[in-house]
This record gives sequence, structure tokens and C-alpha cells, in this order.
Amino acid sequence: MVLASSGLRYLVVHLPAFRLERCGYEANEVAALIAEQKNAMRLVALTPAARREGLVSGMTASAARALVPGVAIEALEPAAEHEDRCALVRTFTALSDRVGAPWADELVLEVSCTTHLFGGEHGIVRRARELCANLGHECRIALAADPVCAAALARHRDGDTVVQPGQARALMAPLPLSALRASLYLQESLRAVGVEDIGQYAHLDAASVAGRFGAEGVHLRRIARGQNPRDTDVGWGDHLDGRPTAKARLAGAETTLQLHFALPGLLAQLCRRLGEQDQAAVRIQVILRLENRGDIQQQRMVLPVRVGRATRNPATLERLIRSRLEDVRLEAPVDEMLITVCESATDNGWQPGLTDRTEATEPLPDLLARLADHLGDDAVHGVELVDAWRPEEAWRPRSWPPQNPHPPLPFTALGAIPAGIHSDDPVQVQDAWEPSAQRPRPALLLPRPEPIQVRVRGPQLHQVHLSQRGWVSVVRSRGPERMSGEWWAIERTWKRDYWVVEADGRIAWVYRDLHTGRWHLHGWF
Amino acid sequence: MGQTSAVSLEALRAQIRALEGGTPVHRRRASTGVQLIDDLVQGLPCPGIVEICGAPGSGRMQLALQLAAQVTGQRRAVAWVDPLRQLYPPAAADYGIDLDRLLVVRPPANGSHPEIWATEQLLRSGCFSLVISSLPGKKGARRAGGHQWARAAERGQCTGVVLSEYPVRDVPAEIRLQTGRGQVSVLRDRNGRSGHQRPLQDRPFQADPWS
Repeated sequence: MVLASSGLRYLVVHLPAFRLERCGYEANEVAALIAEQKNAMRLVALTPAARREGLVSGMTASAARALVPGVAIEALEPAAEHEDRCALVRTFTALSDRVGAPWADELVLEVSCTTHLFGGEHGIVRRARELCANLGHECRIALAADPVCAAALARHRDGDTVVQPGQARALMAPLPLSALRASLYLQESLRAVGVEDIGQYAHLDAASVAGRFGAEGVHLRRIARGQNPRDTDVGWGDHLDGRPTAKARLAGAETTLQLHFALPGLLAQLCRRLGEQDQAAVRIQVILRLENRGDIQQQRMVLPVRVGRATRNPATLERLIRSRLEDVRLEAPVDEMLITVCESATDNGWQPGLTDRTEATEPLPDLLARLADHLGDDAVHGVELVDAWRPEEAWRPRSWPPQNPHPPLPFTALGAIPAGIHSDDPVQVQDAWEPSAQRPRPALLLPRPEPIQVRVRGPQLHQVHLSQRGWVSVVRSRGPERMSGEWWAIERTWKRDYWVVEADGRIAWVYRDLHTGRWHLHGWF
Repeated sequence: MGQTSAVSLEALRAQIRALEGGTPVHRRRASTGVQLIDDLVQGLPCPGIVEICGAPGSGRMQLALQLAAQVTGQRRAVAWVDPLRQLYPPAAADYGIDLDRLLVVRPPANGSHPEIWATEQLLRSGCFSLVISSLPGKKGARRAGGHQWARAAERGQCTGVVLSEYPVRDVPAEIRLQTGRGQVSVLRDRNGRSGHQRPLQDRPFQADPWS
């Protein structure tokens, strides 16, 4: 089932001379950037004035000087240009939080949620022009339902263009094929059959285009006809073993930023479907189908996303997915993105608890889910004590927050009289005392005890050899505290004499293994 | 720096914030319940970042555990970022920390400093009153992203405590304490108490309850 378009609107700012303006040139100066390509220094960016003089990208620097002797040439500095482009993107976040720079001369903003703040689409276009003027950049702006359409109009039409529904096809018709950013193969193939502009391309038969030019041809034909290429298919029992799924075709998205643009529409449809069934997502998967290339082993990437607290809020899911995509490196352009609900639950709503902080900007379950997704399941946990004599086994991880919290200890300070103990039974009194009568344990326990050397003098420790400090004198020590256990298992039996040692201004926990006679550093206080 | 200069600087910062039109951030020092810290710097900033630097065994963990014990004793949650995997929970329980209110985060050691990211997420979330982060690393090492912690703590309205072996310049700490040789010193304090010093509690050598 194909649903209506997602209602997104894309504002594209075409900056014809940004790459030279950031170097101090103006659009009416004849200037170019060069970089090494194919063993020669070639033009990679031009001012409009340089183009009017006949210079083209790809021309060698020497050929450019021969054609236009007065051309100013600068070497491209990719890192500096990238920083300036990022700064430009940040500036335009004043208009929308969804800003990207997928192409060298354009910024793309998704503005469906912010247009009303600027008095409508013409208002936001005016504001964008003001921002460019403040930065000293020439620009042309277009606003349309598809970013490729908006970019084509911004690049090839004079002035600013706001495309109303139904106007896109007519406005794009006279533009050259290159405005669609089609591959060279597609452009040459179309020129070979006499197709020169977008209007002629839009008239071609759909089946013929699909048969001859594949997915790229179909995608670009939809754009040429003013149709939204990102119509989504959503339905229960659709794809992936009967799980609800939304998908979008992306025609070769090369960065994760481009994937962000597809998220709101996909998630809106998916969440609406969940709502119809009173369900909320617990676990979702983002599946990226990559362009079919022979040099990569996997044609798809599967990204599990934990939701934490079950939700069908599109904004929450979008935030979680965008966070998940931050660390993703695409091995190939993405042809299709699917979001599937792996596990759902009946949505009974959520009531904050009395101890939940009002300052919380994110529900705790969502935070824990994000941390576990990024760091691993084993990285986020609570702790509980274990009744074991071996110090390193005296605790273990557990889920957090705990389902069955332990009652608070009736005392807090070491050696304090247990509160609430009023029994005359000496055994009960002794049991209440025992947990508080444990000797202090180090705050830091090394994952692996570190072998050290110790010199003793009589019954006391005299010097300790620490790895970065050499031999240091022991100021004072206390011990030994003998610990042993598991005598019944030969391979696990152990016996150690522990000492608390102060040396070099620090307090350490060391032990002597009574089986081997060796000393080890086990922790720090 | 005298008290007058510190007050003037704070007033100047408030004026700059007002001119920039940002959301006013109310900085206050909250009593921690730990006598040593309250005497030394009159409480910790909330929101804000505090750094406690010192070699292992010098007493910095003692301060951090005491702070955590006070917070969990008030039925609030504490998050502890422990990339070196050295935090010993039985010792934490000895200090009176309610382990049910302690979340431990142990990021993997993959070279991209995930502890920086994890600490920022915990500070920003607002789910914890106190976030303690142990930073591994050598003297002078730079840690990209630490400058965002102050803003994250403001957003989450919580206090972040950074434990390090050496002072970390990238961390915008309002207070910087240093432990060593049984003392805790104030290296830096925006309220003008730099240079103050107090002795640490001699905890491991207290009277042995079994003697």
C-alpha cells in the first residue's frame, strides 16, 4: 500500500561562490580553486565570473591561465573548507535543526516544522537570504517537496523560488539533465536517445526507464515529474517476518545526515500504525540496504536500537535513531532504509515515579537503552555484594535499577552501633554487628593484581617497590589480615596475607600469596 | 585572588550572560554533608563541575565515595563512570553508599574515549544528582569533549565530579582539589578559596574493630 507523501519541505540554499568567497574573493572576480587530480593541478571550484570567461571544472591550471591570463588561483585546503562549511551549517540551524551540506555548493534544510515561525515559506526564504547576506555570500534559494528538485531550481533559476504543489514539473522542465545530479552513464545514455532536458525525460515511459536505467532512472523520473520519490509503504505483516516496517528509497545517500531527512516521514507513518493497534515499540531495527557493489561483503547494515521505555512517540524514536547513527560509517551509498519494529508492547502510558527528578530531560529507561546501545550490554549495570571471601569475587553486576531493592542497612558508619537492635539474644546482636565489623577495603581494586617487590624488617614491611616510583619507604602498615578459601578445589585454593601500607603519601592494599611467596599490589584506598 | 575580585568577576560574568541573552544559570554552592568539603569550599556547585586530582591511594576516592554516600542517603541516584574498571563496590558499601542507587558505567577501552561521551550523556540527562567520572590517561593528555560537560551539567542540573591523576585543563572545573600526603588542597576555586588546605580522614588506619 502506498501512502501520501510525508509533507516534508526542503529549503536549498545554492552558494555559487562560497568556496572562493571564504578565501576572500567576490563572485564577480575571476578566481578558481585548484587541487591535484589525475596527476595534475586542476580547477575544482570557480566563481561565476570565471565560468563566464569559459573556465570549467577539471581544466588544468596551466590551461586555465592560458585561456584567462588574469585568473586568480588558490590551492584548495580541504580541512579549512570543511570547518567553514560546518560553521555555515551551524549558522543555518537558526532556521531548522535539520541542516545538511550533502553537496559542495548547497545547504539543505528540512523546514516543515519551522516555517510557521518565520511567517510562512516566503518568510523563511527571506530570512535565509538575510543570513547569507550577513555572511557576505551570494545565494539563490529554492523551497520544494524534494531536495533534488529544490537544488536544481536554486542552481539554474535566477532569484528565489517557492514551489507550490503541482508546480515542480513545469518549473523543472526547461532545466538540463545535469540538474538532476544523474550519473554520467545515465546522462550520456539519455543524450544518446535525444533527451536533453528534464521535461523530455519526464515524458518517457516508466516501464522503459525502469528496464533501461534501473532504480536510479526510476527515482529521477519521479523527481522530474514532480512526484515525491520517498513515498513509504507501511503495513502490518509487510516485510521481515511479519513485523511492521516502514521503508524509504534513498537513491544513493552517501552520508548519515542524508538519512536523517527520511526519518520524520517514516516514523510518523510507523507510529500512527502502532497507535491504531494500541501498541508501542520496545525494540526496533534500522536496516540500510547498500548499493550493490562487488567490493563489499555485506549489502546491508542492521542497527538494533533499544527504546528503553516502550513508546510510539516519533520524536523520541527519531532522537534514538539519530543518536545510533552517529557512530555509523557507510561503506557504500544507501539505496533503501527500513525501520522495523522487532518487539512491541501494549501501550498503557507511563506515570513518573515520586523519586523521578523533575530536572530530567530524558526518561531514565531511554538513557539506559542509549548507553547500552553505544557501549555494550555489559557496560551499564548496578552492583550487588556477594558473600565470598575472595576479594575480587565479593560483588557482581546486576540490572539497574534493581527490581527488588535491598532494605537499607540500619547503620552507616564503620563500627557504629547498629540501630534498631533491641534483642537480648546474643546471636542476633552478633549477626547485626558482623557486617559493620569488616576491615576497610580499598576504594580501587586492580582488575589484575600487580606483582611488586617488598622488603620486610622483622614483622613489619620496610620498603615497597612501586612500578613508577621505585623503592619507597613504608611509613606505616597494618596487618597481616589472612584470607583463604576454596581449600576443597586444588586449582582454586588460595591463601593470602593482606597489608594496608602507607608509602610515598599513598595508601595501598598489598598481599603476599602464601602458596607462591610473591607479593602483589591489589588496590588503593 | 581576593574575595572582592571574585565577587566582581562573578558579577561581570552575569552581565555578559545577560547581554548574550542566554538563559540565566543560577549557580549555587550546595552543602554536601561532607564536613571536609563544606569547610574547604563551602559546598559544591550545582550545577557545575568539580575536579579532584591526585595519585591513586592519595585519598581522592575517599572524598568521592563520601559525596556519593551523602547523595544516595538522600534517596537520590548517583552514576559512576569507571573506564579503568577499578571501582570496588564493597568499599563503596563500607562508606555507606546505597548500592541500589548507584549506576556503574564501564565503557570499553576502544581508543575513542567513550567515557567522555558517556559522562556527557549522564550529566545532560538530569536523571542523576551526582555524576562521578574517573578519567584515565597521562599527564597533559587532551580529552576532546570535556569542555561540553559544564553545559551538560547545566542542562541536567547536576554536579559532575571528575577524578584524575593530574589536573585536566580541558575540563572547565569551577573547583579543582588535589589530594596527596594526607591533605586535600584547593588548587582553584572561583569563589576565591584557592590555597586552602585540610587534612584527610585517616580512614584505613582507624582502630581495627577486631583488635
